[in-house]
Amino acid sequence: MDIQTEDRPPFKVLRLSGDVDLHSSPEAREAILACLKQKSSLLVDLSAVTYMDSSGVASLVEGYQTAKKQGLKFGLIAVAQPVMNVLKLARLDKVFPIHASFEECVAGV
Amino acid sequence: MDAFLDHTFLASTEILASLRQAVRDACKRAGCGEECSEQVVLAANEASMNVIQHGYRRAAGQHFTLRLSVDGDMLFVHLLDNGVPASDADLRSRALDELRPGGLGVHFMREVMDDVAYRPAPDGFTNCLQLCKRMY
Repeated sequence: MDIQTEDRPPFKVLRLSGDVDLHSSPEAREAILACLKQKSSLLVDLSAVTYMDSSGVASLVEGYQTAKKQGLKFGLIAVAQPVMNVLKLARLDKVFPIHASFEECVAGV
Repeated sequence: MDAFLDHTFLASTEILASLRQAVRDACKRAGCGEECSEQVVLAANEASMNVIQHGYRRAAGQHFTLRLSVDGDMLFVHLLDNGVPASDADLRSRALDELRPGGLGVHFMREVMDDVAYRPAPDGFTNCLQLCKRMY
């Protein structure tokens, strides 16, 4: 799994690539929480994620809850189909703010 | 019953990617469609995660065996391990109305497979988890 971070005010955009599974999800979790620690609203770009298991979903849930506690925004952008499938299984597709792109997200802010 | 996969894996998270590919390839050889295969991959991955995390409590140097077989149009995945003894009581899904990070693995397994249950383990193993699904 690869992680890239980009500043796109008012957000940080965290782009995950590859498989987010029990082996790699701790790294994803740390990256998400590190962004939020900097008091920045966060968008997680999932366009290049090829697989996500329950531990990956758990990292997203923790990020969402942490952001909410801090009064920050947290959303998902460009969610790849493998990820959308597991979000639907977990009934989280209606919980996370999900946008097709960064531009669509910002247009709606 | 036709066997398509019988492999012993190290109970460690770094094997999960190769486990998923092995299951994917076995499903394809068994005649599963792509969507069905990915559902079996998801369930097998979640079950393997449970063996690593809970069965062996992430202890180093442990192993488990994954077998994939087909009987007619029914696909079976058996996970065999020597971890902490488990039972169907450990397979209760949690309510999803509560938003919290953990506890989704069993739910995923039950959602995508037709049946998830522990069976009597063959000689040499403590636990035998059976996942089955009608192929399409």
